[in-house]
Amino acid sequence: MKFLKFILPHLAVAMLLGLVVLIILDERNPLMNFLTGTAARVYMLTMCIICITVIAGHISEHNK
Amino acid sequence: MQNINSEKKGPWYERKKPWWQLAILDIVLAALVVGVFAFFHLWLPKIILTKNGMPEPVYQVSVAETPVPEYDTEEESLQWREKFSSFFTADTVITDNSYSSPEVSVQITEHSTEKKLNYFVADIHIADIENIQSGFSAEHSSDSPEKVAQDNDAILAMNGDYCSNQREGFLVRNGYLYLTEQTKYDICVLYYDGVVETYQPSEYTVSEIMEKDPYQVWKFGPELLDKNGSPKTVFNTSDAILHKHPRSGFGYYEPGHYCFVVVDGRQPGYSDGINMEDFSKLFAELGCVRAFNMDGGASSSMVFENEIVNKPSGGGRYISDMLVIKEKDALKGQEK
Repeated sequence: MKFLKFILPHLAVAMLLGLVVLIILDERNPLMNFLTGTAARVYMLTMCIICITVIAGHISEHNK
Repeated sequence: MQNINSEKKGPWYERKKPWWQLAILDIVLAALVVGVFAFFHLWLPKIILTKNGMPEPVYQVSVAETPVPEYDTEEESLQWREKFSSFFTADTVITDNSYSSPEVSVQITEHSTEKKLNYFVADIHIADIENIQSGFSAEHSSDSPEKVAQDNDAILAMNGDYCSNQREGFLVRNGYLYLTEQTKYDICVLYYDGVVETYQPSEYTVSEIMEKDPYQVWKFGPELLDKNGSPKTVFNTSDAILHKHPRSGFGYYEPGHYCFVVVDGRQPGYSDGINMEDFSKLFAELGCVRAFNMDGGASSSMVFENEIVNKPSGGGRYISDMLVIKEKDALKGQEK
């Protein structure tokens, strides 16, 4: 649990950085479907779940 | 002092770390995440196309009836055979840069300009529409250009629009319909009567095209010549694609007469590549009336008699599909 608390925020940051890379790649070559392919959808869904988990954890700790 | 000792004894993720260690961790994680994404996005097939039999589209929802040509292909073939008889030979004749037979003629020329531009033009005459086909990677979702060409008995092959990467759009290959969505990209249609038309998104609907018996529909683009066959200056694509790159293009003169053009690039001292405007002018200078840009960059490759003709940038890349010139019914191997 402590490990998850440590790694999830970093994973969220890493995935957001990755998304920036994908946006730049998509801008350069939109036909490669970097943002519209199945992998991209799974990527963004995973990132959303991680971000929500991190934020929910942060809010709950703040309210203690 | 006790606090410091207890911090050092805990697991690594519970210890306090300097900011730069955390930054490195984030960057390494980001690289890992993008790497995993690239594996799933680039290596796993989105549409599995196989050579033997007709490929089976994954996206069953998009599959419609196979179009059936309404006109007489044999009559058309006879016309092309007579019209281009001076290019065909009674027997199969193969040289380092040409191929001729009773139904196919290919002549490859290499061009170098003072602007550090090196490109290859393959002038193609065919006697039957089935002499030009889409060839797919046989064993994997993508393969080396030479392997794809060999697997498809190609005399000549050029990389296509990397259709395995498409999960939306309008996709017809060898007369089979795979995807039917209209997108914001230009398309190139080769009809069964040998005519090639390029369309911008506002100029067609999928149902209109399907009524005219399309044989191949390519999506990548943009279209390179306007409806008068004149070069264009404004293109329906992103700015990043307009700059100098290695490129592949498909040109059309008249039914049965086409050309493949592959421009090498990203190789200082040999060839820098070509921008879209100059690529458009190149097709106009060749005398084409329609032309379409295919996948470029490291994908740009031309294969003749199972040998790569050009010098793909970065050593080339695996591709899923090629435009293939072949003997009808793949009789070439038996004639040799």
